[in-house]
Amino acid sequence: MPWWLVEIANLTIGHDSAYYLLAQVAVVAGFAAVFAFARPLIGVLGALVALLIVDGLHYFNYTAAKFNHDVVQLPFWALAGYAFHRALRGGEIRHWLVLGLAVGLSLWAKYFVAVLALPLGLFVLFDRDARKSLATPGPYIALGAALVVMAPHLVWLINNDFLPFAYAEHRALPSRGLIDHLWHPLQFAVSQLFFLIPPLLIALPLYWPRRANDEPLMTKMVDDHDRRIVTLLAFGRPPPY
Amino acid sequence: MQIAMKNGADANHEVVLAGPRVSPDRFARPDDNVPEAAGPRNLEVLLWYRQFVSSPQEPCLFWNQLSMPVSRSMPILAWLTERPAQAFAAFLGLHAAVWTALPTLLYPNLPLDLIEALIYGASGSLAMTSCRRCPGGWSRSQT
Repeated sequence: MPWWLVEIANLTIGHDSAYYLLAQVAVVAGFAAVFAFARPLIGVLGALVALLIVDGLHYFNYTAAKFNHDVVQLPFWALAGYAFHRALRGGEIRHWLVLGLAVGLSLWAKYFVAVLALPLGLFVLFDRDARKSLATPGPYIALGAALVVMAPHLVWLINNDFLPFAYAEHRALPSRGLIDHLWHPLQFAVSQLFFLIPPLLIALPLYWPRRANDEPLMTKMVDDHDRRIVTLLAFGRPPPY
Repeated sequence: MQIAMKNGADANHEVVLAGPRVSPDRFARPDDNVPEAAGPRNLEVLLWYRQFVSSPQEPCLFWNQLSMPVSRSMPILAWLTERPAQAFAAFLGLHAAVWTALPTLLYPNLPLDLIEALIYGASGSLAMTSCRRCPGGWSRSQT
């Protein structure tokens, strides 16, 4: 997908700035979905604060300049998160449909979508509140929409013996022994923690200096189900019950 | 509903509505003598504040946000509170403008990923399978 979009930008504008603008369109679309998600939960000012915190991640600013599969997937992931929450809380078919479309398009953006789709599916199966949605047509509509959108690429993958996966496997640095199996994940985890420092600094005034203990940070507008969904989307798993 | 508070020289607050007009009586505080520094600890005051955030569409993140005096020395905060939609649009516009202009002006060449995208986008490739470490037969693009 990013190659097609870059080619469209090349044919229509043809200037270097067009590619950087294309990346920013993806980022801004992702921000819009985050804002729409956060607004009913934490209010409009809280949603703006959330955007500022998210913008502290380098993926949304200087790394986004190199428009690639990682950048183009940002709006679809954000849209999927927004639609997932709305679908579970509101039960409207249109939100399930948007969820399916977002997940389907995420596959066209990057195969990493499995990391998003699998936890969502498991959450719907195992969460006590989300499971109720299985009695409605919504989840099946989302699944159908996702498969329809994915279908052309899935057919191509099968016809080509899943070549991109073989390519990725051959390109990846081979892990030698136990040290590498521990060292590489540790290296990745430490780098990600380092990249979290700017957003944490932006969020710091929310928590420090600490105000009086009897002043809750958030209103009671957000219930446990909301918290579980948000935690799932942020960390890939819901909090322990 | 969006509201902003102006802090005068004394502890009295003037509530300014950015949303629909409502009778001023509705915004009369239950106890106008609550000290500003005390914050919204009084249950009655909390309930008074709650009327502004009871809508599920527009809840408020921070209790302090409503009790916090928006100082005249921080007009940006007042503007954010009064016009959140414009603030959101301004943030998106500024972000896109800055991060489009910076690489355009400062990068001598396109990033490698963009060069790759231009090559494979122009060739109409669906997937790239070339790889230095792969067997020679794989160095081709799938169209």
